[in-house]
Amino acid sequence: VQQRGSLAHGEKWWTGGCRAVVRYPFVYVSQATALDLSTNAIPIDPIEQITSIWEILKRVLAQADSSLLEIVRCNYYVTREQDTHPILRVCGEVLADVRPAMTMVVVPALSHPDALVSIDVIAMSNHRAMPSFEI
Amino acid sequence: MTRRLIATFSPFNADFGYSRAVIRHPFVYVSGTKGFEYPLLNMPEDVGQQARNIWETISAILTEADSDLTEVVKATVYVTAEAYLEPVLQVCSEVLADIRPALTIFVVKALLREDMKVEIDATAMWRVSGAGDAFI
Repeated sequence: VQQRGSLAHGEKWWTGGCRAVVRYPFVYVSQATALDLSTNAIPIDPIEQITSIWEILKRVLAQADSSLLEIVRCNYYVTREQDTHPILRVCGEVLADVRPAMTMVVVPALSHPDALVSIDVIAMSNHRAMPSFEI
Repeated sequence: MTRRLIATFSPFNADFGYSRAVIRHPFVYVSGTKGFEYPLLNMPEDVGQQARNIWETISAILTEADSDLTEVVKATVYVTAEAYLEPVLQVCSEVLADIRPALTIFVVKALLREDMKVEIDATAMWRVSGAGDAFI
């Protein structure tokens, strides 16, 4: 029997979603911004934001028995047209050996007023039977 | 685990670290697809024509990936103005009349280039079932 497990994000995850859901063979990761949930800080620079988002995603995927290499789809949401190419170039370095399916769109706003970029991903997970737990 | 990538042939190439499509059993994930006219990479001004080109491209990608347009289970349509909804959805309804995938539609502020008025990504079932992770 395949189980469904959620990686919640402590008490601060108030949206009704969670950081990620693992359901073999996939892990669905919620839209991540660069917001640091412990300090409520978010970098001003879009490149710092995207770099920090990839750090978050690396950590979340590792906890889901997955990794960057297992990403199959990436959706990027950015709020300023001038940031699209610089951000994609960073992603191109991070994902040089991964090459997932990708969509990028420019939207008027994200879940935090200072967020300039956010990502959600679908990746493969090796976790066959994972009970719910929190990270 | 192994997987197969369909290389991109758009001008937004390896610099951005993505593939045109990724096959992981049992799905094929197709990247956000633009309305280019191949092989000259013209971008038609007409948004309906852009949408038609997109579906042709997606269809070609899926065929290359051992899938098919009829295997699409989910598509997401992004347009850059509300006025584009009607012509784009008109094309989608013609193309998808017998397929009827789950569909999500957004009006977004912009796409990667100013002349792109519509972009569509899709997820389809992979037809080579059973080959699974052994397939490279």
